[in-house]
Amino acid sequence: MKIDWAIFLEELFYALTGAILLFAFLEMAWPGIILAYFNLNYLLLPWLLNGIIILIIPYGKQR
Amino acid sequence: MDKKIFKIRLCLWLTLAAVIGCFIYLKIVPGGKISYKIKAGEPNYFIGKLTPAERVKTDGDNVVVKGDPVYFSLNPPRRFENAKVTVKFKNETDFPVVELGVLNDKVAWNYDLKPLENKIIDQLSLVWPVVYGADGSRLIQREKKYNSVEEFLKNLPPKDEIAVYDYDLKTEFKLADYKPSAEVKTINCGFRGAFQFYTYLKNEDLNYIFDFKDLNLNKDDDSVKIKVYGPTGLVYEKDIDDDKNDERQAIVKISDLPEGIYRINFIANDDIVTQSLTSRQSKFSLINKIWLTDVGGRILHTDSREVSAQTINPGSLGQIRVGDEVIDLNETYKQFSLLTDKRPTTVELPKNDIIVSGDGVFAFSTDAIIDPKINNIDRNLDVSQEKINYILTGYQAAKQTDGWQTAEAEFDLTQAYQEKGKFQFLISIPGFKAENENNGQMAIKEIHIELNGTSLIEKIKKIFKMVL
Repeated sequence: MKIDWAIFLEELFYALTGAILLFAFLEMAWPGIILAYFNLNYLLLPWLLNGIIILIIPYGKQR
Repeated sequence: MDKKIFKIRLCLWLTLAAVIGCFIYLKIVPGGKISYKIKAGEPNYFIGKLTPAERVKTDGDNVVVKGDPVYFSLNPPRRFENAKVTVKFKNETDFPVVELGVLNDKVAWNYDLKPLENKIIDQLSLVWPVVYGADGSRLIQREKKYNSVEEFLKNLPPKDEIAVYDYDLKTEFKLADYKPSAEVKTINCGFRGAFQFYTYLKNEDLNYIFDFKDLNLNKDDDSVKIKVYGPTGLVYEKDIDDDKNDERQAIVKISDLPEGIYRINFIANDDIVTQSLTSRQSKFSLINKIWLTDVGGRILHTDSREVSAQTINPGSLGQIRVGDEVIDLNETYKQFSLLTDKRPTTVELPKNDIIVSGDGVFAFSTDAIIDPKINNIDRNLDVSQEKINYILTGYQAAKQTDGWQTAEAEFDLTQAYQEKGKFQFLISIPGFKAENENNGQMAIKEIHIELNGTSLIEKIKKIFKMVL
């Protein structure tokens, strides 16, 4: 289970990074498409926390 | 790739795709219809907060309006053709009229105003007989003479017995003893910014020469637009581009126009000062508002019931004589008003650079006054004193629920001005000034906007039609 959890966090980090980039791109292309409904700060916070958790998990336990 | 990793990755990215799909759906509004609703004290991305801050006060979910006018913005996700705006409010002021408008022209600050409440009509419709028209319009009569609006329109009584509100009553306006003038006159008054005036034609060309200068106080484009409206609507339109010259001229010459009254709309920003107007037309009445930068000791004549004056120039402060009374213009950026004791009356401006406004027209001689406007039911009209016997209106009274009034107004967004995707709306309570605290207050509880436009299917069909 520990290994699965670590994989999930790593994959979640990639997905959250993709979401931030895609949302930012969409917002630039069509102003208001995201920010009208959702504050991107709420995505940046879990993305940051996720990144920190991945960093503090010992490398050997990640995979 | 590990099967487990693939499954997790697939789930996460599909979730992201679904979320993006939802956002795109909300952005393009494929059905062509969407609505937004806010509590007045809790604005969102689509409906902005009520401003300016000095005229509003948030009271829980409600907003208390302390002065006229207040504004809010609408930021739709894409283009829509029309908007139905519903406002839930409570008008506890001494002022009978509440209107809602959308900004149509930023240069002339022209709003398309629609009624939310008119207490005068609401009260009269309870005591006077009311008949209805096929289009829902109402005729309120002092004594019942007509059985329908259509019957009234076919056989109109004298114009001075009629008052209208939110109704475009087409009446013929002819001056029986008018004769074209042979003399060419030049008016040098320095009209700053936009202005509009009435003129009259009979077997003559419409001919006006506008000489104006560009103050270039701001770096914006200072193009000018001139529109001429006749008895049947717009008859002429001219754009004068900003060629960066300080002195510019526009000539409007139209032949073969039928006899009647014409409205000329000079649309310019405040950087433009019309130094002189040259014409053969003898009738010249400025409509509602004029900013005079070079009065030259002239006296204005007006048929307005209320005259207001304002200046932004401390050197222009002073006393303005209106008939036998005086407006003490003792503060800049503040509008001072006075009810006229008789009509027409005179307005004597002691200095230049004063904005004069009223609910009628302004001319430089009583002979030049020409006003085809039918009496409008507003706070300055005394129905009994003016001997009004018929009120024709398209206005529908606001609905009452839980002590709140709910009124709606529809706007054509294709004609409205949009800046950075936003439309600007105004809520107006004419006469309600923030500095007079004893005039009561108006509270706004809710604003609901329903937007209608082309659906995705209709748009695709249109594109196919254009291509094939």
